[in-house]
Amino acid sequence: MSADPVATPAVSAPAAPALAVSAVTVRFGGLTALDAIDLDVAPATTVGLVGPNGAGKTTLFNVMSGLLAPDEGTVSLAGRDVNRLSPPARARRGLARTYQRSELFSELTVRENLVLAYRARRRRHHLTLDLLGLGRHHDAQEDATVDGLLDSLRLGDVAGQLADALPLGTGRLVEVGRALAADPDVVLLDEPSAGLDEHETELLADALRRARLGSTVAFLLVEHDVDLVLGLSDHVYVLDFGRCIASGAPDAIRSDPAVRAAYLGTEVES
Amino acid sequence: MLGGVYAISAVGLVLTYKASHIFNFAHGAIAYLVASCFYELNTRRGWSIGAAAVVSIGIIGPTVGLALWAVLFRRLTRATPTIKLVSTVGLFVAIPPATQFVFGDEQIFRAPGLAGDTPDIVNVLGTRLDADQLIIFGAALTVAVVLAIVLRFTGFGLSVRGVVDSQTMSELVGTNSKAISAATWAIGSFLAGLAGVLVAPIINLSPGSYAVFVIASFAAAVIARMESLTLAFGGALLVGVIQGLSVKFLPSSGILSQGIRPSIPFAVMAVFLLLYSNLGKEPSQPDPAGAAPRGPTHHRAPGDRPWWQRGTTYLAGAAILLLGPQLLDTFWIGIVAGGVALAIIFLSFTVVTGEGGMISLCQISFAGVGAIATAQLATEHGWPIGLAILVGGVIAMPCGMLVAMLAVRLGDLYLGLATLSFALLLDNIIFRIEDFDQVGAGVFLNRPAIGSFTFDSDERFYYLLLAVFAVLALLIANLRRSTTGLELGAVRSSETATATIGVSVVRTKLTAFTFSAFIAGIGGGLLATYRYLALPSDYNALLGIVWLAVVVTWGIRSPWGALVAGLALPVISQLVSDNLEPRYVLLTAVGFGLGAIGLAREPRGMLALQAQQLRGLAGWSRGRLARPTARSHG
Repeated sequence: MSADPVATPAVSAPAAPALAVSAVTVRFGGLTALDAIDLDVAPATTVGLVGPNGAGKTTLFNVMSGLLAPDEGTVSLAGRDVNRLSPPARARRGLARTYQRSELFSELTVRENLVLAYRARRRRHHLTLDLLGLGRHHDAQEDATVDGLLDSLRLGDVAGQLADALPLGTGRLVEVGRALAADPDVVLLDEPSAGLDEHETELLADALRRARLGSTVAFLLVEHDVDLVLGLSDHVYVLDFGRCIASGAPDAIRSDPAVRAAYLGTEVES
Repeated sequence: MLGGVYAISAVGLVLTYKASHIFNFAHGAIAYLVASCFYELNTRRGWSIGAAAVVSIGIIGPTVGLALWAVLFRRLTRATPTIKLVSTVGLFVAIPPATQFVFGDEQIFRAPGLAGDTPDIVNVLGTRLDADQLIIFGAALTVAVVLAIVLRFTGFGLSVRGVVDSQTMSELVGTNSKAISAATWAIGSFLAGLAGVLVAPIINLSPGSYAVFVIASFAAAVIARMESLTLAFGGALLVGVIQGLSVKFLPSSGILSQGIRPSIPFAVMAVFLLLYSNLGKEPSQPDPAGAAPRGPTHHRAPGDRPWWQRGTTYLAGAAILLLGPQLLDTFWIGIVAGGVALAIIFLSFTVVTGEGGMISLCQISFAGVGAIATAQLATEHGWPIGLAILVGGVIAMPCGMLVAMLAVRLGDLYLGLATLSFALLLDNIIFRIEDFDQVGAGVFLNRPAIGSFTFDSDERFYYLLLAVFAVLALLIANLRRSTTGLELGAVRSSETATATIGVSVVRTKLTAFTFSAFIAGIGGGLLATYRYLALPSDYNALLGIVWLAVVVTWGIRSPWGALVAGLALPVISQLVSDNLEPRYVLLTAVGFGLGAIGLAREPRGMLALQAQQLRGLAGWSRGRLARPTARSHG
């Protein structure tokens, strides 16, 4: 386990952002949930997204993953406009996410949750072969990826259990594991540490750091744990009432008066 | 004319759906029950119309509603849509034969309505109407006005509307939501009973015609999106008017009017379902402030038992199936062979409902398509039987794919209704085509033969059917272990998450539906060859609903469940009719209906429960007799 800080990416060429959102607006009836949001996530970076409840963070995630069509604006992955692509098509282009309220595959085992995510992006399979039992070649790389993730998230003991009766914290880690198993280019993490104890939060942060080793995966992180966000992120956006009220390096955000007023001030003191 | 009765029935349906989010498939069964009571009291026992009406419609109807609420619906409010649907399907299956058991099951072709045996004829605005028709109009109008007033202007109405919006919130402000939902069930059953008695002079007093009549009012409930009582009322009248016009404008004989007129409500239902699904409007979601729906807890049997135990079970099962027929006489071998043919069709439920998590009420139609195709190819075109059966299965696949493409985007309840209307449309139109039906005689079919080796003896055919069953069960087992199997499990768990890991939910469901149609098609062809007869009306939608109840009773998740369900249906019926009075056969249907209700929460069915008990017993005796070992039961 190398302890080197991964906050400084070694990528030199200014490639297209792994994920970019430009001028995205979403209205629910008369309410503007998102107002012309611009946001870039460069490869191999961690970007934080903070804001009080109801600021529009989860709505923005739903727009990015294709579950919700924006009224205006575009979403692009690696420079390619994906506005018209379905959620599965976006996932196959390297976008993965976790959910705030658990959306685990409760009828599959923990390991199968990860295996399916791995295969969904990589392996073509065919019904006829599946029916004949010929679709399952032994795949050493699949085993290595999945077991490696299970190991680093300390999920080895529950790997064979169904994912429906897990403790809250364990379930969160499985969500993260499932997102990472697809070997994604961008991962949207929707409050991954909510409900985790200190040890589990540490495991989570560790797993995220490790995922970035030797990879260009980028994270967009929604969190209430401000210290966690500011500690992990290279860049932070602050949302309030559907608008982006600030963005910048973590230190700059910490001292931004508008941000303190809207959000951090109360959070930090409490 | 019918429109008024549809309206009364539809309003009852929508009202109970609004208050408890349970769509009552058994609405027609309640209508039949009350109408039978009325007939018994009025015609058989000679009570006056008034007294019989008060007792049957006014007392028995609401009492049935309250009783069902107390023992069943009350517990279902927060269950998943699938469990709700299967439970009311169980009632649909159980209530009519129970009614017939009590009141006798002779055919009643003409039952008087509220206007008595010889309704007076009245001239209204130049149209001749009989008193029955006038009463229907009067009743529909009264129901509309009274409900409107009660819901708008009384405290009770306010409470109902509150419970409809949010049960949890209503409880917080002190409304007794239980009393409210009990009251709506009483009213709903009262309306079902009223509609049932009113419609008695128009249709036969038989479970089948009542089921079809009430399914027609489902169309109105769909038009209303299960929400608006006004739309339900208007929609019902619309369906009635279209049906009335079709009488005028379609020729009175021939396939057109005989097939199309009765299917108008189902066509209307299908059209509105498609319309709403394309507009992206789902039926109202369950109470957002309430607890998350409690799903069936699926456990997977493999894994919680060591391999040798499972192996022993399989070997024992295989031995019984292979050697069993040697102990039976030819008559019983015939019965059992028919059971295996049914079991093959039931495997399609294992795929679409067990694996795919979808309630499909048209599996029997796919079987019918397979049977018809086999008969046409083999008997009319001289194909070898085996090939004809296989091609029959292949022909059923595009049917399955078509239904799935139109319907899988719908929610659970609407998917059930869409598949039901597809099945009824097929019943009324395709299955009545002269070439297939031969005026009710069906098409003769031979059994397959390999060279001079024929399968004419039931014993040989039994083993052939068993082999086909085993092959299909093996395919399903492979499917379950494959990536497609994982995808199906994922779709059952969370459609949102399935989509965002890169798996298309629609495609996955389509796969399950299409494969299940193939199995049902093969099974239908085999069942027809077993009977030497392909008769389309053997594959009607109502029987298909009974089949679903039977499979759910024995276990929808595993091929064993399908096998035992297939065997149980003919074997139990035969045992009962051999040993008891004929009318007790009715009770077997009641039993399967109740079984489906009782086991809706246990997707592995009766078999799993018994296996659990056996294992528990075994574990207990081991613990008593043997020294405790360190082996963990992980």
